[in-house]
Amino acid sequence: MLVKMARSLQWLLSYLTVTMCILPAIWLAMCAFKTRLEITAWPPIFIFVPTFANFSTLNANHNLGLLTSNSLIVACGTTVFTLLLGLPSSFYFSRIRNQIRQNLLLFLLSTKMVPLIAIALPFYMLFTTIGLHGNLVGLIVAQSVACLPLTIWLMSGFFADIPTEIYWAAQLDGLSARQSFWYILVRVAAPGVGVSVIFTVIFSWNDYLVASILTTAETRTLTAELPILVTQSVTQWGQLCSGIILSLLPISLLALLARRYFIEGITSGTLKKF
Amino acid sequence: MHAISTSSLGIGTLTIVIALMLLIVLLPFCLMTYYSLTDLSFSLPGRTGHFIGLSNFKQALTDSRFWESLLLTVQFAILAIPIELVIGLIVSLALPIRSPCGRLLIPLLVVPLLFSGIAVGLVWRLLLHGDYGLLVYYLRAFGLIGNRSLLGSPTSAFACVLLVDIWQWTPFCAMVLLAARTGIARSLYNSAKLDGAGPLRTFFDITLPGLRHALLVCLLFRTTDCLREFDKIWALTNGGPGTRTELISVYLFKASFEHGDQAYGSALSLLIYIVVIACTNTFLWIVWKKQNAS
Amino acid sequence: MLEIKALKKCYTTGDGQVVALDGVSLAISANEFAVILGPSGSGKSTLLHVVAGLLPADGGEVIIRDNVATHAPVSERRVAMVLQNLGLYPHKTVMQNVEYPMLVAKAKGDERKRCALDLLRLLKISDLADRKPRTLSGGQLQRVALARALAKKADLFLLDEPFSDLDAQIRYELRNELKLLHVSRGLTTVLVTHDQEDAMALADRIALMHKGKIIEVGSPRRLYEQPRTVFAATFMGRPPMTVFRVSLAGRCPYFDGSRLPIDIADTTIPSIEGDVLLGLRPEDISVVMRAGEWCVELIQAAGGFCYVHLKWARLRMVCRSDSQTELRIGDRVALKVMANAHFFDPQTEERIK
Repeated sequence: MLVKMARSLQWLLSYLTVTMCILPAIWLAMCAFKTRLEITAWPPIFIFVPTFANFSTLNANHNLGLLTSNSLIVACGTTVFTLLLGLPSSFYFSRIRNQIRQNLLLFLLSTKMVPLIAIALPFYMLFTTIGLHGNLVGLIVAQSVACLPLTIWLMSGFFADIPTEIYWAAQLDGLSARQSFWYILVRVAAPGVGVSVIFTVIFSWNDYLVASILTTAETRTLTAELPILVTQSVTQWGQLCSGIILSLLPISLLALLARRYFIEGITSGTLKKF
Repeated sequence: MHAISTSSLGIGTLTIVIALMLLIVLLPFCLMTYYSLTDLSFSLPGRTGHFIGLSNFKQALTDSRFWESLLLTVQFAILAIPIELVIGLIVSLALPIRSPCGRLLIPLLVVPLLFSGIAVGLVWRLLLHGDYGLLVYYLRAFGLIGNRSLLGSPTSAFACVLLVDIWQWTPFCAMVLLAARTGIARSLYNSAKLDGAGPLRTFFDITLPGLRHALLVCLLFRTTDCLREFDKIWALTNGGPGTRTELISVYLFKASFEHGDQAYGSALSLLIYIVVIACTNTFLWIVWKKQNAS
Repeated sequence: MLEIKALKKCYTTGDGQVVALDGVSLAISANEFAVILGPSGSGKSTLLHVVAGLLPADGGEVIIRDNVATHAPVSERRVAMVLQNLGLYPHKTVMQNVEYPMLVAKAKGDERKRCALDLLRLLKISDLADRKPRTLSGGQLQRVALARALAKKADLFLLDEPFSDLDAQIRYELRNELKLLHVSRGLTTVLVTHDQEDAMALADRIALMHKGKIIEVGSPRRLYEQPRTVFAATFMGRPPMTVFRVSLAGRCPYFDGSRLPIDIADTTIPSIEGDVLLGLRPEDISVVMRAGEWCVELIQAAGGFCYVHLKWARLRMVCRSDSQTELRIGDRVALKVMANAHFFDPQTEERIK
């Protein structure tokens, strides 16, 4: 009897939590297709005729095509750059003796502790001096630096679990050390690489601070552009909601594609390393 | 072609990574430290960066707004993090993993993590809007709150910020704990059953210890993030009303950019950084000691 | 085919420097089956890894087929190796694992498949072609690793403790198959093991290693019947040779002041005076008659024989006897040496001529 009650309580809680998670997203999606009057209606309206007006207005006022392509380029670039640097580093890291490793790890993690606001100004000045301000490459480098500590930490755990013999066997089979790393080891560590990629893409796409510091009008990303819609006088809720929805689309697509692999990772206990 | 030695693969990239870290993080940090000892300002007249020693720090020590902001941030962390951990724990235990229902529900937990900080703040600004927010409507309909605006009222604004943070990060904790929970060996539970342990006993003796590492990970992540929390707060309340939701990153931003006093902002930043480093080092030292003792 | 000259290798651990290889020199000819035998920690695995190029040498030279290969990368050394931990690719099927060396060597698809299937058939694992490594047993995994190593065109075939995790039956089967493969394919094989039975069964020559040095090299028979060092004498053979200190006086061995109650032919005893080390194998001693000074402590059955453990004064000896023996624990017997006794110098631990 008690067990039955506990079980139903379990179900209730699960459904409640999931509902709370998706409710704001659903409301957001609805508002993206409402007129201003419908959004600001009281009591809130659930039945309405959807319209694409918000999207077209948004596109008219802000160059959506440019924004999206910038975000895309930066997200891809950051992922590639982070993997290129982070994967071999974390492999080497996973094979270092403990003492140095602890210290290096602390150093890497400590760079994540700094509130970016704190170093925003010198950051801006540094990039301007190097000539990488207002430049997508500069943004890619900066975001990669933000993503690398986590990637290295995560992947060094995965690599530590892979026996060195596989790396050696690949070389004995005729691959060079570099080739055996990229073709075989990375493939064996694929779950970890997948998680790193997802985190990096989401971080890069959704990043506001770094992007707003380092970009100009031509190189702005979608996320960095959003707050512009919030002004002192009037908030363009319609455009805002449509903008957020657009921003969420690629990420949601990624999450959808990775869904099956993601569930398997969580439920098979292999991600406990993380 | 120069061949890479088997045991030294990755040392090159690691060197590059460390060099990048030093250049892009450490260098600005040093610059910031230098600014904190000057009177640099880009907007106030006559402030061209003369060396003024520790005056900025003296000013900081008597800056009540700074200390209030710090206190607020600590309160925020102390309230939000345990709630996220507990709810995350309960949810991770309650979710049916292997059923097809679970396969549908678990991915939906990911939704809050897909939003950027800015988007989270903006969406909840809409939901909690005093005049047309969805949540506000239902809270008033159930008589839970009066006619005042949630985000505009000093008493409830902080609660709103807490709520939004909990919404955003509880699923993260839940998933990390869920992943860890499935990693606990079945055999442990079987032994407990054979020993006649009830559900409560099993939870405290097997589940909880197995989740210890994951809990620490969550704790570490969330704590470091609390101090850097900016996007969400900025979009939700701008730090208002007044300074009621002005967490430390928001105040740093205002001090540096809105008031235009870069040097003072730098001094504050340095103080914050020292506090963060001290806390995390103590934390890690305690954890490291515990691990070595066991 | 393989020449190793004064190879050195050191490790730094938490406690300081560990010398794994201390000036090791060895020459192995083509088509030879060489076994490097030694206890754990003797450096034999390290030696193999350095020859393969997986670990860098700190000094000395490795020459493979007259090419100096000391600093060459692994992929250029024409060496095939079966690692102790196997290193099979977990994400590939057995067939893909075996094909891989040929894939890297850019062999054509049909040829590759044909070769791989041949090898699988040779190692009796054709039915496992589409399975993944994690579903296989220890013996099966070992065969896959062997097939993969054989798929590579190499000058040297190296094996690092290939039988260590297998149960006795499979070990025996695999051992024989390995020797047949070596002969039929004309390989030059170097095998590393701590098991002297494996070494005796497989080797053309055995190199005995201890603490980073090569102690003795020789054929299995020579090492067993005429060991030049005490280490070789006690390492080869199970149960091991009993070696103990005696005093020689007038071609008579004395132990602890009393005359040794073993009947040894005078002519086999060297004519020196003073302390020597005497070594006797169980099969070289036999129980002669009842009523002697040795007391039977234990009788161990072992297939067609039994091993009788005896004691006299402070000395313990093992003697091999028929399984039909009527000896009982507590009996007192006399011993006689039927073949040669082994004498070693107590200081140098080397054989006395």
